[in-house]
Amino acid sequence: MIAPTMTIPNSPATLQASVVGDEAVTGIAAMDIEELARRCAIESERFYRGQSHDSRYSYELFRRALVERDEIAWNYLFQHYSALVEGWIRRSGAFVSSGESSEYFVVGAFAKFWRAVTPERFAAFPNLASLLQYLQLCASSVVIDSVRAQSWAEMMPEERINEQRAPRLSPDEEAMQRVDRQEFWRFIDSQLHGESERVVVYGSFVLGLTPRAIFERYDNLFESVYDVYNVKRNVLSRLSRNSHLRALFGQA
Amino acid sequence: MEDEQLSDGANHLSGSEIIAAADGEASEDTVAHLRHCALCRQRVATLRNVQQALRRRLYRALCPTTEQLIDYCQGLLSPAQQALLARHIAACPYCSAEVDLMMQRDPLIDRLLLSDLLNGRVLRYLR
Repeated sequence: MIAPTMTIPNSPATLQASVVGDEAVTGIAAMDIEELARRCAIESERFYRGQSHDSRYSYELFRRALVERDEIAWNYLFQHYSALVEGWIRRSGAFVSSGESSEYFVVGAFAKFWRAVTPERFAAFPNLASLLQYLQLCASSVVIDSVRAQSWAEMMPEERINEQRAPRLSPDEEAMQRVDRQEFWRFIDSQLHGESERVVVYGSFVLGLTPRAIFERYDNLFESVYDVYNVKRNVLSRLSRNSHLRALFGQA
Repeated sequence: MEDEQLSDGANHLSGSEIIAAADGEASEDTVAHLRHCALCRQRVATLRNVQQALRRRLYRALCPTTEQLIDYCQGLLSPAQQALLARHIAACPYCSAEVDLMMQRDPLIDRLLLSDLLNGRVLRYLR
């Protein structure tokens, strides 16, 4: 699937600058923050009413918040867009099942946006629409993170008790854990013989599917669910004799 | 995994029946057997623990983070990374559903993009 891009050559900001001169752009960049926030609100209101509007003020507010890391600009940004972000979160298909409040996700969405759009990456957002699209993606993703965590807890209920006692991992530790898990899959994959074993092991443990669900998904490979049971039995029997895995299974 | 001919000589569940029981797909006969056979219940419990150990390390181990999915949806990844993620998303029901959710863009953003593009075109003609 090819994702749409928001990169537009000769962005309106650049064209407008070349038409009306650099004075307008310089003027906005030098504008007092309170005045900038006020103009941002006025132009946003004009946009919502379907009137002609100028998105440069909002774009400049984002620029100051994200490139200059201006805390006052960031606070104005949060005030101005938090209602919009909350609307996105509430309309997200995953929100209802998350069990969390929309306010919780709004804060999470802005935090994720802040972390992701560093000063170095700002150039990848040539206009206000691209910034708002990214903000919306951050909003959807914090809800999805919550649903992923719930799904993990349902898959491994005993881990929930351990997680409450264990300290939270740092981003680096989480990244290392991901690499370890990917390496573990590569090791398991190296022990498998043929497509049916790979499908059963991948389906059972990476996707967390039951044998019946695996058979329904891959019915071209198996004549019945009993074939899935047999493949799984053979694979687990072989893996349990592997010297590297005995310690893992011994702890089980 | 024990062979179904266990040392006590009694009839026990086959390896496949143990798998089905561990995964919640036991037949009525299997369920009936487990009610009175402590050894087979132990076999099922052991298998469940083994499977949990594997799932703990492997569940969605190959799935990208949501941060990577955001950049994928925005088109900010390199062509190679974009292609790699596209292949995974095509094969993973969870990531595919998550990307579908993320790509439900607010029409307001499309309106804003169109408006910015039109502004650009009008100003080009005014030069």
